[in-house]
Amino acid sequence: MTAISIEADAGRARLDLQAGVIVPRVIERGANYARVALVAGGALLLGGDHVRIQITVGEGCLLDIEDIGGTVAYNADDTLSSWSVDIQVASAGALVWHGLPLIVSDGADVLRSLRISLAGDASACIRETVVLGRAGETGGRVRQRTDIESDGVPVFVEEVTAQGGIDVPGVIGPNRVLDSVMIAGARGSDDGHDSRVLQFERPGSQARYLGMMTHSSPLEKVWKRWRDGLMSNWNDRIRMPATGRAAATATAQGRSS
Amino acid sequence: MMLADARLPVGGHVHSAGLEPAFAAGMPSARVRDYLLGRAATVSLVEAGTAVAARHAASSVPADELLLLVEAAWAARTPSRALREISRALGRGYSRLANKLWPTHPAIRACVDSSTPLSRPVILGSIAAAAGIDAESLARLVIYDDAQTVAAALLKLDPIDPATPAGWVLEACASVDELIPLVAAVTSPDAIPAAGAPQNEEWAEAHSLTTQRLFRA
Repeated sequence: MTAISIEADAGRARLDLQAGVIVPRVIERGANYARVALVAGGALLLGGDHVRIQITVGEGCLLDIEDIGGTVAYNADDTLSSWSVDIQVASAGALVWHGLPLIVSDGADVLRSLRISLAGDASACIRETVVLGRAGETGGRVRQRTDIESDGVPVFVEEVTAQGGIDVPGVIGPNRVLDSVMIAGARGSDDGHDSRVLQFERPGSQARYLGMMTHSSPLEKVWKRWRDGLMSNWNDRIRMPATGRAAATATAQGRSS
Repeated sequence: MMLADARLPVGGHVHSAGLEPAFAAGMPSARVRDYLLGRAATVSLVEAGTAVAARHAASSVPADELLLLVEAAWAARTPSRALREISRALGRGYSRLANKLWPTHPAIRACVDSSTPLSRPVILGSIAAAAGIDAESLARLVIYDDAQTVAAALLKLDPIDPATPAGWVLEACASVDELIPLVAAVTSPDAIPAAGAPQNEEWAEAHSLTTQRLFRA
């Protein structure tokens, strides 16, 4: 299992990193902030692989995660593989994660689950993309389960099942790409152009794109807008060691993905 | 039986179970059968599970807080605001009717006196508790009603031989029949199915903004 945990500390945040199939690497670290990259330690995702990632964000901390490279679930003759992420964010904490696409090849059968538990005024902003099939393929099967809760109250619970080549109108239709940006603990704005935004009943929003090509997705703009909105609350709160301050501010304001 | 009858005065005729939004988005009528099958395995199961959990909650005393937990679980499984609003509008119709028929039943009192509007499946579950409908029958009723709503709307939107969609309704109900015992066993709100239909949500949101429509959703 891969585990990442951050706790604020006077000089530099305490970061506990545990490597599994996915290896976390620190890019930068402040007193209450860290940017961590996730790198695959080997070929992924093969039949029978069960990737687990556990993330704990301590009170008042900001954790920014980035994927280095997308993930391909390879043909496994329908043997199940799974990818489970469990995230807990303590009060006044925030998690930002720009996930890169999971590509589900022909013959792959993937169970992907994402659980997010927020406490108090914690927030999280996540990009998730699933693509059915590599170039020239129709794609395998994926079951994507999402459970987001805040102080024990459910915010968003969904299980989408899709299989390449099976077009169920109303579910995802003939589309190959299921792209989404989700924010919880705060609302994402809808500018009325780039995509339709679902506003959850509890504070939280989702922008979704269903289409044929990842590069046609308009969600990069939504991601940037929502992420920047969340990060703007942190500009004055990120505490960096003296030399790293300028770099962190630039990161919080300027990076788009 | 009465609860699955479109002539029941609860305002169900304003609802096409997503069919009009689907047509507006370009789904051809030749795909209605597949649409029904997809809906039975997703939206209908969420609605059925919610109704069953509400029936369980409504059988407890006091029911009001438990019903709100079921409502919260349903709302988290209904990310589209447009779909939440239409369901609560339908819920009001059922609630009014239930208030006339079972005015003193504690489950119905809990619904009528609720401080926040409750969705259609939560009210339906409470009615089942008041009327003594068992969980399996309730789950079947919800799935059938949803499919039949599509079929009835189809005859208004794109009239074909009425026998054809009737056959599709049977097929859609049969396609999830083996799941009925599982759905009927739901007691906790957490256990309500969460099968999503993202395209339906997208279509419903778009439809809520149009003015040229026959059905609200």
